[in-house]
Amino acid sequence: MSGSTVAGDPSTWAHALVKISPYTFSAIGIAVSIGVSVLGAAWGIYITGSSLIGAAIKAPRITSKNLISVIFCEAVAIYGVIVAIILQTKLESVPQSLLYAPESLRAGYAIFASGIIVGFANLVCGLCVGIIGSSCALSDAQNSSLFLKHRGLQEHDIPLLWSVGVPWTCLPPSEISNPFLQEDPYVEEQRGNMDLL
Amino acid sequence: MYGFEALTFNIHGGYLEAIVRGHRATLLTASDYNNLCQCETLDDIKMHLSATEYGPYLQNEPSPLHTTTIVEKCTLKLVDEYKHMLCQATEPLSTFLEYITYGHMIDNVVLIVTGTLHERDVQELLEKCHPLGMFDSIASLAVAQNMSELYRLVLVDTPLAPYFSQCITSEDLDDMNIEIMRNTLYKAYLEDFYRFCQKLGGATAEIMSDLLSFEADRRAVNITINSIGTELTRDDRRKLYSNFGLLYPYGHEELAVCEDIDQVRGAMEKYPPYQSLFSKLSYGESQLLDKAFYEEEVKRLCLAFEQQFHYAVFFAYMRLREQEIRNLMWISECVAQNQKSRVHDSVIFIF
Repeated sequence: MSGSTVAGDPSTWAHALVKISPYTFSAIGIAVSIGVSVLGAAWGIYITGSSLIGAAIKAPRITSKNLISVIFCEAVAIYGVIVAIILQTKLESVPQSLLYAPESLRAGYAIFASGIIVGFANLVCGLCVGIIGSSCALSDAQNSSLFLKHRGLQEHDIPLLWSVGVPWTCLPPSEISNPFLQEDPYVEEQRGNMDLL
Repeated sequence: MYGFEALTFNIHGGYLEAIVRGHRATLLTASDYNNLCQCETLDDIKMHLSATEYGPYLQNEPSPLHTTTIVEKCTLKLVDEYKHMLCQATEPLSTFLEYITYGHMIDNVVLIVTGTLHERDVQELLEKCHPLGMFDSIASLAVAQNMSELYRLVLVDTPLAPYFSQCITSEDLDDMNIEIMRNTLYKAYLEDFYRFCQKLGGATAEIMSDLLSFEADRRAVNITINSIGTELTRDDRRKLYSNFGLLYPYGHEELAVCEDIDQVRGAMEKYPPYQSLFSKLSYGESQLLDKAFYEEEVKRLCLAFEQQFHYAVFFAYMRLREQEIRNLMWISECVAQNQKSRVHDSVIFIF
């Protein structure tokens, strides 16, 4: 049941990869989920904010309406934070013997994958929302009938669906078979006793 | 990388691009021009202009206005906006903005040298220079006697120095040589600007190469038409054409041997963008050619604003503003000389 039987010959790369603790993978996944999402959101806000400030000099009326572009970018960072919090609640301590069990490895990889998906999806989403917000601010300054009112579906609901919903499906099920769940030592002993009977 | 400029352009250029687009929104529209064309006196013009962005610049002028005052104040507004943008800009945008003014510098140099040749006073000439093209040692241009002195004394410290390598001769300055010098300098300037834009890459390179090619072709046609019947040889004429543009190199071969306007028309009609231009003119007429070229230029400059995240909007804005000042000058002159029937001959609506 340990990782070495899974991989075979001890001197291959596969064996080395399998020996990396699943905690490492999960931690990196959580870090990427929040870090790269915030990078994307900040980059997007930078892009839209610089255009908005310049355009608002000649057309001050656009500032209040175009704040929504900045809010959408910010929402992207929030999704990253939400997923990071959810992922870190999935982390539990396991006894050393079960650390390299296949179920543990799967859980570690699953959290890593979720984090990467969320992080990089939010990076690209934040950039796109920022670029759209910049163009929208400039065209609104020119002609106020050009302001896009219906970006809510594209910029809020779809990122919410993809960056939060999809990783949710990758997460390990929180059932009894999850080796990350805390094993009560009294229950362990009882089970061992029952075997003897 | 073309297409990904949106990711990093706003870091250095976002604020200034938004500012220049704000300025573009204040260019005079067709309805403003219609109001101005119906004015009876220069004071009416001043009153209409005070409702636009030119208001603060014209309101302190005393009542007997001259057309030159109006033009001067409008140019002053353009210069103020330009200097504001230049102060805020970082590389490479600041170099790009400086390149836009080298054309005016060349014109100023030629103006002072020609004026000195005709024994005019230096101060009077300095007042006529375009403010965007001023540099520090411009007044000492009056001292030079021939081109190599001109270069050695004054121009080697200016940004125009690299353009002089092709036209340093020891000949004395006279009218013909000065025109050749102007065109040679302008040719070197356009080629340098073109190379600089190509180096910038992306949307800037694409849009600026279109605008600069049109400028190079327009100058080639003007040089050809103006040198018909003068003693400029064909080889000299060909040396004044730029090394890029739609007409390079085969169109230049044909233009170099043209002897009258109809041959020019025949050479140009092989190129679809210029064919439509020339088809508007009837045979033998060249006065409307200038207006046709200006209209085509304005159309292309307006198209530069369709894309975001590039520098060509700055170039386009400066040129459109200059066109607007030319329009205002024409309208003011027509009104001042009571020739209002000719007002629409040369006013080009920008929007």
